[in-house]
Amino acid sequence: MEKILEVKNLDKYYGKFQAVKNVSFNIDENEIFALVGPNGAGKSTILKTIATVLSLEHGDIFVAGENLKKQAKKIRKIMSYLPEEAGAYKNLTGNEYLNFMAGLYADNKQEQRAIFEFGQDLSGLKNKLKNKAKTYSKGMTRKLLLARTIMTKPRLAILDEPTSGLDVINSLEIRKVIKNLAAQGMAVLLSSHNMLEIEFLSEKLSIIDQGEIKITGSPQELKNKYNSNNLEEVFINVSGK
Amino acid sequence: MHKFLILLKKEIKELITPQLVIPLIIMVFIFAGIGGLLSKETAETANQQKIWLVDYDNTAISQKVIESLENKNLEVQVFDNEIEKIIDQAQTNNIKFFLAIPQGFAKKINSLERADIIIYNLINNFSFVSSLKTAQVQSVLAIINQDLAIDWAGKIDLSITPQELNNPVIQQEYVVINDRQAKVPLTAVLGFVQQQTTFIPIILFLVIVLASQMVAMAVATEKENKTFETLLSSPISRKLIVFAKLLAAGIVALLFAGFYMIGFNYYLQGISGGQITQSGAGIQEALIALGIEFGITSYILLGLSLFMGILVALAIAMILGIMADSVKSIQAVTTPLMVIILIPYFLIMFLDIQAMSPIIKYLIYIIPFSHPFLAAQKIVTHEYSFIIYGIIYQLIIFLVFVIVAAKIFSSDKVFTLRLGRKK
Ligand SMILES: Nc1ncnc2c1ncn2[C@@H]1O[C@H](COP(=O)(O)OP(=O)(O)O)[C@@H](O)[C@H]1O
Ligand SMILES: [Mg+2]
Repeated sequence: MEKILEVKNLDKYYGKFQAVKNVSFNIDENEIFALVGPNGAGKSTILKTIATVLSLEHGDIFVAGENLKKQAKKIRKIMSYLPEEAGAYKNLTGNEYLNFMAGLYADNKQEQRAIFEFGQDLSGLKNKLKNKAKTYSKGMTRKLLLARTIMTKPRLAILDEPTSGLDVINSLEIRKVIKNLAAQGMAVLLSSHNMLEIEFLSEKLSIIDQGEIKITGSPQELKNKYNSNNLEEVFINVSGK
Repeated sequence: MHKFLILLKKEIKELITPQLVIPLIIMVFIFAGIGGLLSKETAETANQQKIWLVDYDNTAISQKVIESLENKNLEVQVFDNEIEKIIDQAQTNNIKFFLAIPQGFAKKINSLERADIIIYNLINNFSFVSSLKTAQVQSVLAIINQDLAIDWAGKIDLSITPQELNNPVIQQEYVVINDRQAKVPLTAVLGFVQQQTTFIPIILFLVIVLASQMVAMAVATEKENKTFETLLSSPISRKLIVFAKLLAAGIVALLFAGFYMIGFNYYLQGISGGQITQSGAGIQEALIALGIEFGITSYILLGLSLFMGILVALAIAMILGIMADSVKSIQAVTTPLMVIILIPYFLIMFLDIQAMSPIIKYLIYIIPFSHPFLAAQKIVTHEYSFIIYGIIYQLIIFLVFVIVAAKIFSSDKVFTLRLGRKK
């Protein structure tokens, strides 16, 4: 199967502080892949670097075979990123926000319209899309942003803690949407500090701690290897805490 | 280009918020309201034709005083009862002042002795308009003095008029600006120019401050909401993001400048009231002779200088916005910029830059925001080359800051730069 993402020997520094240490992993097409680890492990830093938000200085990243150092612009068109704890523009309505973002990805008006209408559908917010984003609850905002992320039908969707801070119902709905993405031909790279939800969501994951990947595999493989009942136990075993 | 317009539209939509527009509209109404009030009061004062006069002398001379006022189209109401009662009455009738001619007035005047007239000023506030009343009292007294002086001049058989006696020297005032000159009182020229130019620096200052707050706020909000990261991961160049933000803030700032100008114009019309028309015709020619007219060139140059000033402020504010930890710290982060704008504002408004030591003078010239303020003065004297150099200087400073901003935006610094201590 073709690889949609290859990360090779990625290091990332904030000044002198090394937040990411020699990280490598691959994602296949149609795969849901998760980076799991505690707060401050370096998950967001890795995702931002892949999303071209932070610069790539040490290591290599390939998206759909294209070198991110050389083809960043091309890659941005086939990739989409949902930042952690993100909001929408306060003075724009849900519709205006979706339409604005569609405009940035589309080459012409028809394409913009198609992306926008797909986004409206995906959000499930219906009439609420006419209201300003500042009136939205956390759950509604997350749905709007998730719809924005996937309405362009990216080949790789990067979701940073997509369910964090949401209540049970909203988390469940978001997870359902994500599960469906793979079926629609998208690959998903997501992060979470909630190890239990990842078991249900992802086919493959890396456990990351203090900037390093400790182990990679399917949830079942990892549990078997460490003879654990759940991923939390696996994490405690690999991190030696 | 199409994507740039999409960005620009969104930036403008985000900037024009009710929190920004409502104070602006209120501002226009306040300006207009104050202006309206002032012009009404000015007109009322000027038109208070009714003069109250208490005549305790009741002689031919006191009668003559009343007549000379009536000859000047003033309606004189004469009293002779007790002063306390008249004061009471004056207060209930909202009379601002009245005169009293004491007993023995005629006796003194007839023996060529100076005599007293008593003025009662009834004050209930200390506003600017109150000061206009003094002028009216003075003009009433001038009328009385003049007529009585003519009377005296007749008695001692003078061949010159009392005015000539008072002013043996005739004042011939010239004003020189560069190589032009005109016979006109300095106060007339200054009055006209100040009317034209005082409001420009005020608006300038407001607009620059407002625009920088806006752009710093816009950048900090995007960072806080992470919409910024979303933008950076989308297929548009970071330079476009920078320019769209700057241009949107520039457009909105100019729009607001327009509003402020409308408001301030009402205000100015209010305070100047009828005064311009009074002095107008006579000095108009002198002003033209001096070259003090604000033609298209003047306004274009001033406008350019102003726009460049705004752009410089915007570029700096953008960088400051990046350094803000959160929207709440915007105020703190932009304070240094406000101070840099305030310094030339005060210095140029209240001091004569030309008279300062060269070091201070050039320090002021180095501050890019000095130039729009200076331009507001230099258009009067048609020192266009100074204004043009100023515009070029501001353009260079602007480009430097835009390049710095673009550099920061296209590196990780946009996430790591912070003003002050790290958390
Ligand atoms: N802008 C920044 N400047 C300096 N250090 C940072 C910055 N962002 C993150 N870090 C540090 O990098 C490490 C990894 O952070 P992050 O990638 O956000 O972790 P995670 O997403 O796993 O919680 C943390 O120690 C964090 O403090
Ligand atoms: Mg994170």
